[in-house]
Amino acid sequence: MCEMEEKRTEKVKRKTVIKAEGLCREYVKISRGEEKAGSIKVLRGLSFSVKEREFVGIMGKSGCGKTTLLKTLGLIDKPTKGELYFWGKDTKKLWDDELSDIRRRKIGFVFQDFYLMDSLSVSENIMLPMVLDKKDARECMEKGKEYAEAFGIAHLMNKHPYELSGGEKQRVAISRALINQPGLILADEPTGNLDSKSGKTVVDALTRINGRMKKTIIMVTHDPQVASRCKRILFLKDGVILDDLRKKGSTEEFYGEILERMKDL
Amino acid sequence: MKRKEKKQPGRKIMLRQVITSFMFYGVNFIILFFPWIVIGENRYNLIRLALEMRKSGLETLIAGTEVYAYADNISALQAGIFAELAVYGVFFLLSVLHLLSMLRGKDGRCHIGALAAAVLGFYVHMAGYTILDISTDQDIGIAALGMILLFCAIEFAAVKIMGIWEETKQISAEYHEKEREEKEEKQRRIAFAGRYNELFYRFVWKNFKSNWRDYILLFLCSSMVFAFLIIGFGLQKLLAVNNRYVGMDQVFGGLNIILMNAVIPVGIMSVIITVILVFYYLRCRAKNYGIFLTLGMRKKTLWYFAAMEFVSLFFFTLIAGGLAGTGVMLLFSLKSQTLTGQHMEWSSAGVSPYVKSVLALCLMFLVSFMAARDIFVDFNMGRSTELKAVREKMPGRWRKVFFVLGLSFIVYSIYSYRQLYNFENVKLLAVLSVGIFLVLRCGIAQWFMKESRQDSYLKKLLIHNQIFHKSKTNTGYIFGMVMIQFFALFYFTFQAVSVEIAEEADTLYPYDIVCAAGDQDDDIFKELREKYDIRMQVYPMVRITNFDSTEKTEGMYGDIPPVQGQHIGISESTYHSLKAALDRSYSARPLHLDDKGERIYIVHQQDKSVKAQPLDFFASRKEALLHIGQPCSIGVADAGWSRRKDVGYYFKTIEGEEIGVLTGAFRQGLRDNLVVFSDVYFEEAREFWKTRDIYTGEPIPEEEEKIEGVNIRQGPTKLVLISAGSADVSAMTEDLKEFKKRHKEEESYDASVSCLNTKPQAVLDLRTERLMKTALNLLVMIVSFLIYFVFLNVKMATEADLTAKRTEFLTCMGMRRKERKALVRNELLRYYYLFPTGAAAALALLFTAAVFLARQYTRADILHYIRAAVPVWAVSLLSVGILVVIRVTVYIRRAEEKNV
Repeated sequence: MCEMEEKRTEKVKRKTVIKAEGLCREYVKISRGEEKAGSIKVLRGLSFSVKEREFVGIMGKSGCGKTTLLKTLGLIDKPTKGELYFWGKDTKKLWDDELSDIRRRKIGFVFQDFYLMDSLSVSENIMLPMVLDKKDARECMEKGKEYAEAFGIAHLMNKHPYELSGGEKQRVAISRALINQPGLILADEPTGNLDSKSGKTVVDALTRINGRMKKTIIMVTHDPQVASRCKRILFLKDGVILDDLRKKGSTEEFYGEILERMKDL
Repeated sequence: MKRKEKKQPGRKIMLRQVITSFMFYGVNFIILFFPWIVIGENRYNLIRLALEMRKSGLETLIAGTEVYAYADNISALQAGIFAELAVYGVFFLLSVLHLLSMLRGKDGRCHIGALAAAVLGFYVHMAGYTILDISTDQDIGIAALGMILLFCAIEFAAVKIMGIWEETKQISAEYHEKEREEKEEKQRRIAFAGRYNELFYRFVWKNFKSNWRDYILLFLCSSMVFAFLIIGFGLQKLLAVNNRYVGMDQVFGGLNIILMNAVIPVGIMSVIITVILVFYYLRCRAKNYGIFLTLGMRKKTLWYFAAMEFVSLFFFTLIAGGLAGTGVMLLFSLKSQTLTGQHMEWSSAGVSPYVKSVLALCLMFLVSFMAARDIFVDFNMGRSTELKAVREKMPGRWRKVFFVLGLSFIVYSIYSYRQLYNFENVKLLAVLSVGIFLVLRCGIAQWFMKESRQDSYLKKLLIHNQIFHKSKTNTGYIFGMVMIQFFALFYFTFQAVSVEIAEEADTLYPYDIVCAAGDQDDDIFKELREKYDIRMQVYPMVRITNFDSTEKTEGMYGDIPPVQGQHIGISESTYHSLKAALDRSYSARPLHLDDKGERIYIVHQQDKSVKAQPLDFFASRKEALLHIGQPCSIGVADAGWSRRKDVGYYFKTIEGEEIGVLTGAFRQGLRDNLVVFSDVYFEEAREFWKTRDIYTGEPIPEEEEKIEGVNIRQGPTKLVLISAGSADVSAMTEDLKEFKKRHKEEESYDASVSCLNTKPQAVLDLRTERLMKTALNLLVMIVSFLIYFVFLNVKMATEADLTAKRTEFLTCMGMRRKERKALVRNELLRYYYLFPTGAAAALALLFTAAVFLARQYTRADILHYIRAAVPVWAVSLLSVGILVVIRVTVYIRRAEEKNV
């Protein structure tokens, strides 16, 4: 009883990281430099919120707007309609430089195809967000080393991304995403390009980040196995939220539920 | 409390305003009552003058003084003085009212009235029939009234400024407050100040270095372009400064244009390469730029580093290209004596070639950035896609229409190029290039679309896939290659080879001395005939002027009339006599000219290496707008009305024309062509000068208004052709100095239209011109092929990674080494050598045939040309072919080596 009360109190205390109200994202059709009548509506009025320490999965068929949603939440794309609040701040009112600051300090990105710079070494890729944040060089190196060790890539520090395997690359990307200690991690199909073993390592790492490091994670995935590690799944279909599924029982049970819901997609 | 605080400075300002007004108007009152009006021995102020005038009258007042003006109209003078006094009376009243209103603390507007009265008073005073005219000392009066006006203006401005001072201060304070708030908000909302650590600069440098090879390629190409620009502009300037046709740069022709014709197309091709390269470079950089931005680098910072890359590229280009261009020009300067017959110092060109080149380079980069504008929209943020690997769109459903349009452009350009009156216009080559681009872009797309629907599609999938996938870029390469080789095979080859088939100097200058003389020169020629053993022929002539001898379009001139050309008008009989004099077998044939002079026959006196050109470039060019006599001042608008209004210039129908020489090709078809009239009309034309104004060309209606030497003048009337021994020519030229002197005025409009032409000088000029033409065009032809080769290399260098990947893929798919090599070889040779070369050669043949027609080449000329051109074509195509095959082989070997 006491434990439940504690949990409830904790739930109440948790702050809202992301809040979307009627979020829309449209792309104008352009043909030979001229705008065509009409536009492609990718996101059609999404409303949801994500609280601190949540691990949210976004699932849906290809082209349903998963990546667009993630890019909008990551402040890379701007919504065409609706409101998006980031830690309570209306993102519409934020300046471009403020958006850059948020991307650098408060959000960590993990992409399916890693998004690493081939011209930089592994250690340099990890340190990049910190360096862009004008931190002290020594501190950057120490932190870089710390995260590399945490994700088992310390021995690869002097290599370049093109010399690494997919799993190693993704761990570099995760280390890079965490180095500035952001509160929110956005992962776009982080296991999409990986074999099952590497995929498992990456998902384990993300679960650890969510559990131990207490980071909020929003992850786009196709894989129900990977999705079952989340605490909550948003099912998207044609730009709208079809279902908002929360994990209640065990991972296996949740996996079964996900498979069931996926039939509707 | 706050209101009180605000009011306090207002009062202070009011007080200052009152003091200022009293100060300035006080001085004005002193001046007003100061006796500044000096009449003889007496001095008056305005009031005293008014009283004196009322009391004893103006005449009494000025009696005995030295004031005589307007003595015949004393009442008007009196009225003027009273009017002036009245104005100053009003001024005084307004001034007093203004001061009173100021004392009452009101923002009166009376000082505006007072200022207006002061302006009016000063104007009236200066206008005449005023105090000024009765003053013995006018200066003191002007000074006094001027000071009143000045003080009024200062007072007005000072009071106004004081009035708005407070407001301005408040606005300024608000602005600073807002600025401070914004700064504070910025500090509050935006993170970090300070500097990036050394790692950041290392990362930026490494990122830049990752595209080092592309950067170097871009640098080399842009340096080459910059060097070309300097050479082009430098040569233009150098020759304009040094050659004989000084000041004639509006007119095409001469060494200047030979050089420009050669350098401009090469320059354009180089620019195309550079634009493609800049575009490619930006696409390569987009991914890394995108990563930086996604990870939170500010756009401003990224722009800064991107700008730094291009600024450094720009400066390196300026240094390397500048050095190369200057080096070539110094070499040219060193060898100019041998090449052109005169020494040309590079320093005489000044800095303008460099300035123009830098501006052109800036423009080129600007065009490239505009072409790559999509990349700058979001720098590919959040996408790790390699933009250079992304499929390019095919033209849409209008491609068939554009294909037909392109074909029409090509046909039109060829058809028009064969017309003499289109003067082998470079604009037609621009139309051709647009046509080729449309045909290639839409034709290739149509071809692939059709192929993709056929069963044979899969068979050709591998070889066509690259062009299909990157259709835009590859069409760009093919287009560039076609155009470069077309210019090399047609344009430059024709310029160089046509010199080979051009007539010998003796044919071009059948007479040693050619003079356009008048009746007054008979004594000089009589003396020559007695002194030397010469053969002299004299024919009647009139000077003919054409309205426009420039290639510029009519709208370009504005109010400035174009440069007019001068030619020789002769009768049909003279034409036949001249023909017979050079060709004994000649039998006269009628030219079908009319007695009214509406139809003319033209002999373009130029050699076969000079481009076909009309006599007159105005309006349609199918008719010539001509005037009998020397050039007159006539604008474009009047020339346009010449069909409805008699402006002295008339449109003549060209009944026939030939390219050939009867008196001498001294101006190579630009001037001194022969205009043939019927015998009847020619007699009428000889009297034309008696009725026309020499300046306007319009008819002078009254007989008594025609004054010879003032508004009518007879120009040259006799065409004197002298054949003599070479030793006598120089002696005769000395003797003809007096003749030259007499006709100096006739040469004042255009020094290149000389009344005296001698063969030795013409032969010397011709030799220089031909040497330059051949050497330069052959050189540029070689450079064109080299540029083609560079183009091919750029394509291969930028696609080396993709080719290596493809080779790896094909290896994995089980394709044999030999087949892989054949695939890449066939693709490169077929689509980037054989096809562009074949298309360029076909177009070159068509255009060569068009020029044969335009220049009226005979069958013998054509055969002669082909005999001279075929070896040039064969050698150049073969050497380029060998080079291409070698380069492609090396390229394939390297791709295979990477695969291993």
